[in-house]
Amino acid sequence: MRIFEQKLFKNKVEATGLLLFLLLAVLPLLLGIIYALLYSLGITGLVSDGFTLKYWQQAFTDIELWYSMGYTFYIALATITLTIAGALLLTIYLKEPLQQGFAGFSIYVPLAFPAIVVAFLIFQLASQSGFFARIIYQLGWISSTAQFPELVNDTYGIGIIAAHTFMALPFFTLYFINLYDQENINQLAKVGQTLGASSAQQHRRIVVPILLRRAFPTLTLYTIFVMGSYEIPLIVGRQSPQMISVLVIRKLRKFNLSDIPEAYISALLFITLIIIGLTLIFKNRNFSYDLDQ
Amino acid sequence: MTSISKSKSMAARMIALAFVFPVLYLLVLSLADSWIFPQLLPEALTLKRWGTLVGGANNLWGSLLLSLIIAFTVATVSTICGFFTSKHLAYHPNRSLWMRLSYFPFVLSPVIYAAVLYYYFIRLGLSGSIMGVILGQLLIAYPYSVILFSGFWSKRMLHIEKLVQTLGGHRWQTYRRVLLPMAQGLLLVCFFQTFLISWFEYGLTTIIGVGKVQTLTLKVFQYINEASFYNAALSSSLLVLPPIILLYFNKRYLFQKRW
Repeated sequence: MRIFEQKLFKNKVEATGLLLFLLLAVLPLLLGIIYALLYSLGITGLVSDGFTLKYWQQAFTDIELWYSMGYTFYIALATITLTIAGALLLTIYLKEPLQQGFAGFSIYVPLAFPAIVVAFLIFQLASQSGFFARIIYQLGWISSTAQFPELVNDTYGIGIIAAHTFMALPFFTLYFINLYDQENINQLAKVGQTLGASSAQQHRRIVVPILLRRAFPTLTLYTIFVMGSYEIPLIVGRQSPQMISVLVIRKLRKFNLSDIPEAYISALLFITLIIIGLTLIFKNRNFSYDLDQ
Repeated sequence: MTSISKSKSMAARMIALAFVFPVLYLLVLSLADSWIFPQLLPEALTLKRWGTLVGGANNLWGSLLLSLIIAFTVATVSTICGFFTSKHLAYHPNRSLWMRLSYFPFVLSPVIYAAVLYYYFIRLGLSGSIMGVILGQLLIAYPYSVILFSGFWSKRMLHIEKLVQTLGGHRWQTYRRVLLPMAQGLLLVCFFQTFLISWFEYGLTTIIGVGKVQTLTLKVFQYINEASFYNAALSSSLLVLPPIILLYFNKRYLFQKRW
């Protein structure tokens, strides 16, 4: 009888698997970072004239880059704050009705929307001649499009935040509802009630902290995702300040060749931010890769 | 007590309407003959635009087919490769390192990733080609499938596999009779999720494809740029309807983290 000897490690199949992973997931990222770094140091590229730090100096003194970074943070934080607040409210107060019937189906609908379509919708609904402006006009509250507030391509990025929140709110509501059941939060809240906690105290001390702690890695990942968004700020954002992705592509596509190294520097700064963000997530104990979990 | 539950139910219905309203708005806009400010509803509806879908000058049908082919290829390759490699990564002594590395390409902004990789695509002669776009999208979809499958490979699964092999099952039999049937649901979820990653992708496609690979998302952007909003609504409807149909059949295909 032939006994099959299991070889899970150190065999050709495993080597092929690892090689494929390295080729498709690790190597391109490394190559991309190396190319961006070399370009930004003047070692390669169209404007290459030997090693120089002048592009880095130029980038660090470029106020537009820092505005863009700040703006990107602002949009991401505003989106995630609104999303958390909205999703928590919906989870706490409307958990049951949102799981039944028409509502139970429709809450999934925004998940079927690509970012570019959401941006287009926000543009159509919230612009000065959009659907909302038409309603307000028909109600007699405004008499011309100019009287409707600028909600799209505006200074505060309201359109961008609205578009991202529309995409994120249903997802996090569903996610929180799932966590609520998984973590037996209902039972824990009942224990709190037995011990004399008011309804507000149960929410503040039990429900919200558990949900936020468990959802921390996903919330951080989503914040990073919003920071890197492109289509939405491209369509409903302003020319200045721009979110970092839009700025990078604009600088890369400009006729001025000396802007290209700065585009790569902006990209590298963004990649560094992502590395910091991911490091934070990986430190979270909910993000374990133990085989038992 | 009843009035509270009634008002909650009413609030939930209002929220549900707010989520569904954009789909209806897109459909009406795509059917509108003329809908200018300050009209609340279009003057008339027409099927003319939808009629031009096949054989029309806008070549939307071509874009739809192209998007389907790209998304199908990306989803198939990344699901198969992800399932196959995630096992080896999951049982590797450096499991934690590999899993962490798989997050980087996935959470990095696709457009920035495409920007730093564009040079290599030119050198490989892949920029502006369908193959280039497929490869570019695979660089995002594949790590995602690795992440998705990483939870499947547990100690329990390893014990089951060992048991099958102890009972005389070969590697292929183990896959065919045990692992693949057990992973069937997750394989489907992964396929649809990676399909959607590709289906929704715009930034990377426009950089690597240099605007030549005209997927549906590029068409939407082109129409928005041209202020041809009725056509933008039509192509947006084509983008949104397949995932909604998918949603109707099974919600879990859509409810997964895609970042």
